[in-house]
Amino acid sequence: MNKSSDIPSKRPVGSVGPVALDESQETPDDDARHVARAQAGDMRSYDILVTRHRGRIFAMIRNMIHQEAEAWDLAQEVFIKAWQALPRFEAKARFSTWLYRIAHNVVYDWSRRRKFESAGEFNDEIFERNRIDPAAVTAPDAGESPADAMAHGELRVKIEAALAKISPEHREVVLLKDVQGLAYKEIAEVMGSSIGTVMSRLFYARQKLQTLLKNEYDAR
Amino acid sequence: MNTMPDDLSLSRWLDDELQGAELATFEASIHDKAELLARRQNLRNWRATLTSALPAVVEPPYPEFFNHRIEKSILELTSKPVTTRQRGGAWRTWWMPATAMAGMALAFWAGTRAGGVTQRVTQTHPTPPAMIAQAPSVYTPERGVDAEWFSSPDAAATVIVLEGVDAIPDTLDFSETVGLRSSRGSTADLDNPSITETL
Repeated sequence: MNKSSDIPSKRPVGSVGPVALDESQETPDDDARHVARAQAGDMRSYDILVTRHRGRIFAMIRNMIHQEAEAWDLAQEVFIKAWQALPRFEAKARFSTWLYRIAHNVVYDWSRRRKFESAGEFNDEIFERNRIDPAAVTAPDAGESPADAMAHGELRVKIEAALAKISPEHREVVLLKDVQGLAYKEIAEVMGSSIGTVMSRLFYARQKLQTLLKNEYDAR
Repeated sequence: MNTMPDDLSLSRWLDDELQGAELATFEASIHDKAELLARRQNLRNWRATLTSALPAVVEPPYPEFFNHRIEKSILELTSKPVTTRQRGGAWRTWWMPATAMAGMALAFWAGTRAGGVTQRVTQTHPTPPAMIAQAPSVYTPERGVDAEWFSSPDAAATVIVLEGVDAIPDTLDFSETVGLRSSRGSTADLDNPSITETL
């Protein structure tokens, strides 16, 4: 599929930090062009779309379910389902918003399945970063100083713990708005709810999180 | 004349969604700007706190393998033959259930007659079905390394040929490369510091 020619050479691989994307990779017009080609069956164009959006979709799912290995699989499921539904995509919404919508369904289906199966045990060991050889060619590269990494790591653990305490709907709305930066209208499309519901959920979710993170939040 | 902004406009302004004329119109309509500016700054701080810990973009581990698996799944999906529903007419509505019932009755009768008789099945060439049915997914993380695979159902074997791999020194003891959880060092142990030194 997509090889090195489409991946900027300095892009961190498996990075835990923000990924610096080329501006050209974020152009919605480019998305539209590649979507049109992919709809005509061009796998290479679809591969470019996957490369362009996999970081956001993976981050979103990982933050929703807090299981890296499962998030890796589910993010792939999103792109496979998107390919299957691609003929029906009409470009009324942005391609990225459409992907978030599919991710929403995939995560909720997974949650339902998991509830019924009550499997409970997932092996995240294979992707635990402290077990991966830092000298390996495909090793994750944090791309920040150890002190920053530690500070962000601690904060991340606290925020993730707080996110785990609120409902999935509240968690999702906060992640879509405050982390992914979607507009209210787009969040309503992704979650299949009204803008009023989005506003209400966001208000209560922020309030709960700020209460749970009071010490962290006040220190800043 | 100043009018109170609606909730949606206020929320969008607080979240920095308004732009251009929409932004100008809104800002002209608000009274207590200082209080709202403080709320907006508070929200900006909140977002900065969140995004410093939870980045919006995180590359999945092994990104090329990630793409490769998607492509493989899509190719498997598209290579499946498309089954089209055919119109069966009266046969489907009446004869098919009847035939199915008759078949079930016949199978039940045959089962009662054959009870106690065991049949020995011998397989001269046991072949793992998975090996034939599934093409392996080969991933080479190192650039410049190509992998090809060959499968022989008769030999019940699959061979993967790697080209471009550095020569393996004669001194390497392969018995040490097996056993993920052995007490001795293994090249498969990702957290083994001795391997990092070797590499």
